[in-house]
Amino acid sequence: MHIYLPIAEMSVNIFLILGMGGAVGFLSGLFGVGGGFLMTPLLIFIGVPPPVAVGTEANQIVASSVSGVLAHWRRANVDFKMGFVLLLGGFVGSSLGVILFKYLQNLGQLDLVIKLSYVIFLGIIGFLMLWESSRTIIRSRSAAARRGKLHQHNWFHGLPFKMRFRKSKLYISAILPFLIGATVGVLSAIMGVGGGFIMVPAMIYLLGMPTSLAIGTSLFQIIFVTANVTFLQALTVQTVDILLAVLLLTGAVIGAQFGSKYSVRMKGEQLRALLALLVLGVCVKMIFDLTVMPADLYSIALLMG
Amino acid sequence: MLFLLAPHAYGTALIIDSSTSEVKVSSSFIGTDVMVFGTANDKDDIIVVITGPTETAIVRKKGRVSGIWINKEKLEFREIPGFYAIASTRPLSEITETDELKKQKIGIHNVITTASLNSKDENIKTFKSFKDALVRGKKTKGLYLDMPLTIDVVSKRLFKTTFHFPNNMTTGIYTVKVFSFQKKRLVSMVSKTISVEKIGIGADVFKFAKEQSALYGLLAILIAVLSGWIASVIFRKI
Repeated sequence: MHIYLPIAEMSVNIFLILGMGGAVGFLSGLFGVGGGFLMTPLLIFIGVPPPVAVGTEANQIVASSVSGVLAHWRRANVDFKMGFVLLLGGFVGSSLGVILFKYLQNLGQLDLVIKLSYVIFLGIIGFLMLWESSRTIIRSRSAAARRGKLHQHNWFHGLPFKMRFRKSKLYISAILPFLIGATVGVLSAIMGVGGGFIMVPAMIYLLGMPTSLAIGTSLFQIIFVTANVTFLQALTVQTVDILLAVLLLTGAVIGAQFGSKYSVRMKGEQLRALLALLVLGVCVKMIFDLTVMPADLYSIALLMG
Repeated sequence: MLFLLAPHAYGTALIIDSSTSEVKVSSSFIGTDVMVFGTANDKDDIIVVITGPTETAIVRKKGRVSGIWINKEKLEFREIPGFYAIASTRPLSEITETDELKKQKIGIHNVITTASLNSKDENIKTFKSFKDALVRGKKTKGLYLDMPLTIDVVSKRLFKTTFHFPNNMTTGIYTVKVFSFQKKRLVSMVSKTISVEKIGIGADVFKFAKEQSALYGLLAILIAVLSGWIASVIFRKI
C-alpha cells in the first residue's frame, strides 16, 4: 500500500516506513538511544531528500524523547537545573546549526559535511564504547573491579560561573554544560539526530554525572532542541513532513517497547558492545560512501521556480 | 476541451485531446498514464511533446580530494522543464531537419542549451557532460524521455500515444504540444494544457506548510509531544 508524502513529494510504501520505524525503534529501546543516527541515513537511502529526512527526523525524535523522558521522570532521573543549562546551549547551537545547514546546502557541501560528521562522531563514540565495554567484560571475568573516585578533577573545574547542581551532586562551571549543549545542538540540526549518543557520554565522562541521571536529563533537553530544529526547519526551508513523522513514530514507539523488554535480558556491557558495533557499522558505511568512487560523479540539486 | 489551430497550408486540420486535463495527486497517488490522441492529415508525421513546469537545476561533479569524493565543479541550468516527454511516428531525424527541430525546441537536447546557463558561468566547455548528467539523472527518475516513444497510427488519420506521469512529478501546469510535419515541413502545431495538482489532505498539508510555516512547525511539535505522551500512557498500562 502506497501513500503520498506531501512535503517529500514522493509516494512510499506505508509498510516499509512503519517497518523502518519499528526496526530502529526496537534498537533504540534495546540500547536506550534515540536512533536518529540510524533513521536519517535510512531515510536518505530510500530516496527521501536529505533536508526532508533531517527536518522530519528531528520532529520524530521530539515524540520519542517525550515518551522516554516521562518514564525517567517517574523514577526521578531528570536533573532539571542541568537540563536547563544544557538546553540554553542547545537553543543557541541548534539555531546556528539550521543557519549552517542552509549555507552548506547552497554551497553544495551539505552531503559531505553530514557524512563527515557521521564518520567523525560515530567513529569516536563507537570506538570508545567498544573499548570500554570489552574492558568491562574482560575485567568482570578476571577479578573484582576496583572502586574509583566519584569523579576526577580536571582543568575545567577552574572555570568561572560555578553552579551547584544538587540532583547530580556537582559544583561545576555552567560554561561546560552550556558548551556541550551548544555542540550537540549544532550536530542535531545538521545530522538530524537527537545527539544522545554524544551527550550522554559527555555528561558521564566530562561532567561526572551518574549514568541514569545523564540519560534522563539528556532526553529532557533533546525534546527542546529537536523541537527548536523542527520549528526552524519548518519556518525557513519547509522540510518537515508531518505525515512521514507520524508514520515513523508509530512504528518506532511500538518497536521501542519490544526493544526495552528484550534489553532487560541482556547485560549492560554486552548491550554497549553491541551498540558500539552498530555505531561503527554505520561509520564504516559512511567511510565507504566517501572514499569509493561513486557510480555517478554527477549529482543534481533542484531549486523550484 | 478541444483546441483547433487554423490550418496553415494544404488545408491541414490537426485536432488533439488527452485522456485527462487534470491529474489529481491524492495521498494514494502512484503515478498515472495519460493518453494523447488526435487526428491529422493522412501521411502526416506527428511529434507529441509534454513539458512540465520549469525549475532551476544545479549539477555538481565530484572530484577526489585527499581520498574523499567531494563536489567540486558545478553548473547551473535555469528554466529547464521539470518533466519532458516526447513521442513521434518516426525517428526525429527522418521527420524533419535538425535546424527545424532546434527552432521548434523539439527533443530534450534542443530544450536544454547553453542558453539555459547562467551567463556568468564560464564552464561552457564542460556544458555537454553536465547536460548529459542532468538528462541521465532526470531519466532514471522517469521525469525525462530522451528517445521518443512511438505514436500508434490507428487508422490513416487517427493517432494516439500514452505517456507515464510518475509519482515524483511536481505539481503545476503541463503543456502538450503536437506538431505535424509533411515532407519535412512543419504544417501545423496545436497545444493544450494538463494541470497536475495535489488534492485531499496531502494538498492541505502542503499548502499549510508553505503558507503558514510557523503555525505548521508548532503543530508538528504539538503532534509529536502528544504522540509521545499517549505512547507512554498506553504502554505503561500494558
